[in-house]
Amino acid sequence: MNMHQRILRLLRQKNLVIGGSFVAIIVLMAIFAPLIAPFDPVSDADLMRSEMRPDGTFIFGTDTHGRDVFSRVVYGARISLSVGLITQIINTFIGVSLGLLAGYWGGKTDDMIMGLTNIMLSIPVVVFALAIMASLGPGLINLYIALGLTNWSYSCRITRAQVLSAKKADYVKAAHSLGYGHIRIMFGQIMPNILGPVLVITTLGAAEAILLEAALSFLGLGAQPPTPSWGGMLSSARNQFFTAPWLSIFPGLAIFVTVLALNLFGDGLRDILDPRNKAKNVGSKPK
Amino acid sequence: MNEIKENILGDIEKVEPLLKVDGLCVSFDSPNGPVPVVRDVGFYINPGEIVGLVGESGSGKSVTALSLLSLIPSPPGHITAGRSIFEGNDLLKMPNKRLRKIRGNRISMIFQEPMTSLNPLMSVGDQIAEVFRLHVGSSKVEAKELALKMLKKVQIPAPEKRMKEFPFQMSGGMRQRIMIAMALCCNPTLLIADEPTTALDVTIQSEIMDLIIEMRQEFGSAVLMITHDLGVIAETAERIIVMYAGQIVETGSVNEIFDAPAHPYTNALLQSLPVLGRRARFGRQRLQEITGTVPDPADLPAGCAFSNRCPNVQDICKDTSPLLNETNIQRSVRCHFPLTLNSDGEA
Amino acid sequence: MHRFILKRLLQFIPTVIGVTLIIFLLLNLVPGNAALSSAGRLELDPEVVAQLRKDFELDKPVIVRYVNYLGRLAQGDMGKSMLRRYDVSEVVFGRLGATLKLACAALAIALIVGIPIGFISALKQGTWLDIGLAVVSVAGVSIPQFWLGILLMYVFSYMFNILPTSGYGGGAFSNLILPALTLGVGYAALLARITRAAVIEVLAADYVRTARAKGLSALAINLRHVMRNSFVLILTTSALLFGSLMGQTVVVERVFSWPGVGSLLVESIFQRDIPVAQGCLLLIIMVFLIVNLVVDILYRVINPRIDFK
Repeated sequence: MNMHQRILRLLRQKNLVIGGSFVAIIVLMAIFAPLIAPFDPVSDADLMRSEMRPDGTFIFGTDTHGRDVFSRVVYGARISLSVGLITQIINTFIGVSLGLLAGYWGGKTDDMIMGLTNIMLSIPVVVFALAIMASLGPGLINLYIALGLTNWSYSCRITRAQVLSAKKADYVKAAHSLGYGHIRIMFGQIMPNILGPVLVITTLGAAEAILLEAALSFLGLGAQPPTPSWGGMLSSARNQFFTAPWLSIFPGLAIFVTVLALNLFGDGLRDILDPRNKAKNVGSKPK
Repeated sequence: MNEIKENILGDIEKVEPLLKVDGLCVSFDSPNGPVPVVRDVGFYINPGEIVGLVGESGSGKSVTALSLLSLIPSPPGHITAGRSIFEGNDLLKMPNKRLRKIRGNRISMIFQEPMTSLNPLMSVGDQIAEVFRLHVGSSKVEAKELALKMLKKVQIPAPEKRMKEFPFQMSGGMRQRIMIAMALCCNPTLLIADEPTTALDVTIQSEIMDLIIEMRQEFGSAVLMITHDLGVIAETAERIIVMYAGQIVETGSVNEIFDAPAHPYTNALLQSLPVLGRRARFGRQRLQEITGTVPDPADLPAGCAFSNRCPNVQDICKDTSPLLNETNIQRSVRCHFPLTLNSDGEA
Repeated sequence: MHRFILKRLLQFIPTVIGVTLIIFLLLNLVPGNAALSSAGRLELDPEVVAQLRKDFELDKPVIVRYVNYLGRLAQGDMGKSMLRRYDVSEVVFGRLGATLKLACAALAIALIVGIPIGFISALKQGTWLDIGLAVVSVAGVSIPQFWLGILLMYVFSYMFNILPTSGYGGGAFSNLILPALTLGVGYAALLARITRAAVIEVLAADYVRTARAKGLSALAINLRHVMRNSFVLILTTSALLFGSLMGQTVVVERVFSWPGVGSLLVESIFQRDIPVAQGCLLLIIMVFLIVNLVVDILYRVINPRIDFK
């Protein structure tokens, strides 16, 4: 292997390393927000220092109400990450359960679930989330629900495929004839197989959910002021954009970095977990 | 690893070989550094001759063949040393532009997988015509006519209709006929067939072999027939080259190889064959499998590559690599204890 | 071929019914009174409320309302706005042109920029150029579109003052540039990634090796063998992309005050005007479904393999 390819390989792993470290930093930022943020994100308002440019005290400047933008961005990580986490837990739970049901029972149950999955895939995620928001009304909790219900088709399909192949495996039949519970055996076979793909799906799904939360909050449908959500901050800063651009630049940058980190991390995970990619890199002999 | 081959160079003047490969080394990049998959391979092919290149999968035989036309995927593959003299020019040093004039024209190739070796979105007629357009410079209409002629030559029924069909509409045997037609368009002096029958049904296999032989008689091409199955070439090849773990371990005429194998590996290969007409070795009724597995090219044994599977292994085999000993121009063996010298019996 | 198109059209019907059912149920699960009061937000006298309930069939069970709705939908009637009593289909279809214009412009940018970048990356696989383009495209996928829109607006409208900030501008081309760019960049990046993966897959195919063994030049191989085969792979994915793109128009339209279906949808959600929201949602999904249908049929035309089955 020459130098060039050595660097390439490092870079490939760097996806995971760089993405992972940024995700870790953002997670720590969210957990230790009270220690990091110099001001309270909501109550430390002072109209006397409204819309001040970034300086030594307020490194990201202040907003219209005189609140410290940096502190609000730090606290905003809590909302974005919780959106990523909660929606993906709901999505994975729905997807894996439906996939298990469809694969295990087959027949009409399978047809129904797969029909539903296909219809879900034919409705763009944003549109589906908007439909739920239209029904439930604006608000952060509703947003969790909306995003949690929209993006489970992929984990459903993968789980179903794994159940079907596990069902065919001879040793499952054999174990069954020995009186072992079918479900217990299949779980032993299925879980390790879907863990990798589901991990990749949830990481990339979290990135997508955070982006969507920001977009919907920007539309005014998500967290309502004064909650410090990045999308919400951008939404309230719309009218001050030309006069106080720092109000828009920093929350936007925070979203961008978070989503980028998750995407890099997810890509890196996929490179490691996908056997097809692995085979490509090992330089196996051609047929 | 480099062996001196002066005597072979001296002998070779008698017949000018069509292709002469010398000291070919190919390695593939892996995360743990380059892995040598072809190690110092040298052989020759005379005009019009059929030579069999035999070895298990992973022995480096396909990589050797692909390297001759610089067709190995690169990266990760690299030809690290060697010469391949074809009609007086070194194929490996040739600029791409000149090499392209030889590919599909003077030297053609047939591949193992007829299912995937044809472009699925192009009619087979167009795929054959492409060769005439490229190397003969025919017009579109001429190329189509010539392609139709080729289809007739490889005995495809209803060729006019087949011209317009796509590969997915054809059986494996039919597709391999198309591949052969494509390879013979420009009347090549050398045809490299890389496991041409492996992916086919047994009944189709012999049809395709017969076709290759027939075509070779018609076109006079030399054939390098690569296979893992000695049985396939028993009836057709004139000389055989046996490869193991990236090296040539034995060469010889078909009779020599079948009647008196010198290398324990060749012997084992023969014993794993079902009884085969006149070439069968008498007294061997039971099929024998070779114990153990082909060594990982990234982790070769210190001495002889076959030492971990060899029934006659001695201490020297485990730490000293044997050289390729040539008894004459076409007979050679890479073994410390060649069978023909040690055992009498059948040899 | 005709039989395939017919079959595909027949499959289309249950999907449409499923989609309308899901959207209808979602938007009508809210109990009638709640919807009405939030729609009105006014103290109406009982008589008017009773009339409203009757007009919008709020006293009937959801299933009955759905069947009636479906029947009217088949005749192109999407009902009336709860708030202003206008005809939903008229208004919604009136907004469709602007949205399609935006979506098509963005798609054009994505195709023109994304596919060549993906091709170059794949052909130069592993070089610094490939790595650089990979970095750019992962950034392009990750950037929040509305934020990008604001930044573009700041640079081109505020700093250099060469393009209008927002609005439809009576259909002027200059008004289209920023929204289309905002919407297109992310999809260009996505398409570049998809194209790269597809081309790499095709380049490793046996038939490409056959083409090389024939003696074809790299250019001829790429033009005749690689491009067409990778387009088949790219096409299916881009059809799915278009759906997400239609969805994202909602956000971009809001940023640039673009008078499309998306803006109307967001307004109607705020006003809790269910029939209008329903109409907008259905229209957006229908456009996506129809595009998918067309692409599917197109796919069979350029890819003969699946034919005759």
